Formats: sequence, structure tokens, C-alpha cells
Amino acid sequence: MTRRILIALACCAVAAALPSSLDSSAAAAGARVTAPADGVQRRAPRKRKAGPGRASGATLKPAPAVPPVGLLDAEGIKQLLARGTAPNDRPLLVNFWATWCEPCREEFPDLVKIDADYRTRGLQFVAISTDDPAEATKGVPKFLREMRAQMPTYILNVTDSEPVINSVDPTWGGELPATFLFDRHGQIVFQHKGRVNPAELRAALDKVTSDK
Amino acid sequence: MKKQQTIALTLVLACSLGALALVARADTPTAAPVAIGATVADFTLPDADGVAHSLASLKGKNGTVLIFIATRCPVSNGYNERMEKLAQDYKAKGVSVVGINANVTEPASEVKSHAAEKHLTFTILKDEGSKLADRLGAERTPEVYFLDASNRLVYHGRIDNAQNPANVTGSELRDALDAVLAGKPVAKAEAKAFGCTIKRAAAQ
Repeated sequence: MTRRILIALACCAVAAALPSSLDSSAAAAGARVTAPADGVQRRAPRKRKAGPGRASGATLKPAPAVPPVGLLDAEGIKQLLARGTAPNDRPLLVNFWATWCEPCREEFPDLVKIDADYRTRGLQFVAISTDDPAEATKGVPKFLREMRAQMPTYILNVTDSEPVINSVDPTWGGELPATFLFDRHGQIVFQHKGRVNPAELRAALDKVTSDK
Repeated sequence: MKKQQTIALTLVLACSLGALALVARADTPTAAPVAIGATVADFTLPDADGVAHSLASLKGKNGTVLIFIATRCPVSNGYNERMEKLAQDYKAKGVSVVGINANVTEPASEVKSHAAEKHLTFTILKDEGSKLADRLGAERTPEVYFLDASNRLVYHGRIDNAQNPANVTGSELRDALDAVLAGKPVAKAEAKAFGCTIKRAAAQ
């Protein structure tokens, strides 16, 4: 009974936090985004039934809810990358990925940890998926749930990927995954194509979040 | 007991070597990309059966399309039918299409079975050590290098502008091919798209 009460309380807390997390992430990104229409991501996490493998009395920790996955167009990217004025006056880490991309999936747990470690140190971290926009309510939130990811995540909604690639970095060919760290003035201070080395990224993050 | 220790030690060593190999996998090209207008020097690479082919032996009289492809990349696989059709459409026009697999993670045997399974009939070369990819500056799959009859690079980049064939509104590679065949300049010589990184062996 106590366990049920705890689960219900946890679900309520997550549900109450979600709308503000959507608003703040979109506003913080300062980007032109489209929230998913059906609100699937706003659901409280599904309760797991106690199965034979789960001993009664064990702590049942619900999977954390993931922020809703919005859509981001070329103008949204431009606004997101614009640095210097509030609310975009913080260092920005952008990771381009896709659920179909093996090294993207491999590096994601490192990025989730980095998000947790640097969020309170003034870092804005946005994950941008290049999956089909239809995945905004399917594969992408499913993967984010599995990863227990909390960073704002968008799916690119563009007819041509080239302007987006060039707006991020003209020297980038479009290979995935790709990780870019911008300082508070919008200059790229770290970038990596392919699976990122977390130690190298953390060193760059330490520097950029301590620069005034 | 001693035998068990030996087995355990061997396992630990094997795991360590495996981990090192994983860490050693690199995704970043080591050379500057070849520029539009530059001539690509002849090269020789084996196909999936180990038979060596030179660019000179494969080139079409009107040009050659080199496409870095992969067996496991969903983007590259999304273009299998389009690449095969391209090869068929332009064979009669004197342009050869050649696939190149430079992924260290995809052995020649897999390249061969993949081509058979996906009905790819154009020649596919195995770029062991990603040496050609390094020389051209290739970074992703699929990525195209279209060389004219003199092996001059006239187009570099994507095949078209949409992974989903239903959403294609611009076919830059075909536009470049048609322009060269008509004796006209290529309007858009470079175009980018999202793709998979080429999985390179680590630099020694």
C-alpha cells in the first residue's frame, strides 16, 4: 500500500513538472519549435506490473518521464544557435543524432550523464534528431525513455538538410553523430563527428562553463 | 587450477585487446577533401572477391561515379535501389558507377553477401584501411564523387535531397551527370546530406 502511494506521488510530481519543462525548454532554446499535437509525451510514465522477477517489497522506481519531443525547422535552428542575448547567453551543446545511427545510440548514455552533470553549471544542451518527424511520438521518445534522457530534444522538420548543416558548421559534411559546443558568444569551441570521447568533451565543457 | 588460470588470463587479454580495438576505431578523416576541379589520381583496390581493379580499368568513357557505401548504414541502404538504377541508367551513356566500402567494421565477405541480397550489380571495391576515403576526404555514407572523362572531380556530395524517395525534389547527382553529358557546366557542384560516419581504422 505504501509503495502504491509512493508511486502515485512520484507520478503526480512528474506530471506537474512536465508542462513547465516543455515551456522552459522551448523558451530557453529561444527556438521556433512545434510541440507534438497529440501530447503522448505528456503522459505519466506507465506503471510496471510486478512480475515474477520482481520480488515483492523491492523498491519500484518508475522510469523518469522524458521532455516532449518537438519539431525544429531551419528558422528554429538559426534562433537556437544565436548566442549572446538572454535567454541564449549560455554555452550551448548540440548533438545531432538518429535512432537508426549505431554510434549515436552508443554515445547517448555518456551525453545523458554530461547533461545531468553540467545543467546546473550553466550549460544549455539540446539534442537534435534527424529521424523522420513521424518518430516524434514513436521511436524517439521510446529511445529517450530507455536512456532516461532529460535534455530538450527536437526532430528536424526540414525538406532539405543542407541549409541546416551549413548553418551549424560550413565544414561539416552531415555525418552522424555530430557534437558541437558553442561558447556564450556563439563560437564553436569543440566539435566532433562520430562517437564523441566523453573525457575530451568534458574538458571542453569545464573550460567553457568556467569562462566568464 | 593452473589451466584455469591460463584460460582466465587468455580471456582477460582477449577482452583487453577487443576493448583496445574498439577504442582505436576512428571516425575522422585524416586528409583534406579533394577540391572540385582537382584530378583524382589512379588507384587500385580489390573487390569483395579480392580481384584488383584500377580506376583506369573501371572508368566510363564519359565519367565515373564513385559512391562510398555501407552494408549497415540505414541511409546508404535507403539508396540501394536508386544507386542500382543510376548505374543501369548511365551505363549506356558511358558513365560507370563504382561502390566503395571503406568501413573497417564491414568485412569483404559481408560486402559480397550484402550486394547479392540487395541486388547491387555495379562493382563494389573494398577500401581496406580507408586509404582512398582518406585521400578523397570522404566522411560519410552515401557520399558521391563524380569524375568526368579526365578524372576531374565535377560533383561531390549527396545523391539527392531526401532519404525517403517519395520526398525527393532535387537530384543533384543526376543533374550533374546530365550536365556533363550535355557538355554543360555543373550548376551545383557540391551538396550535403545527413549520413553515417565512415568507420575508419585508427591511425597508427
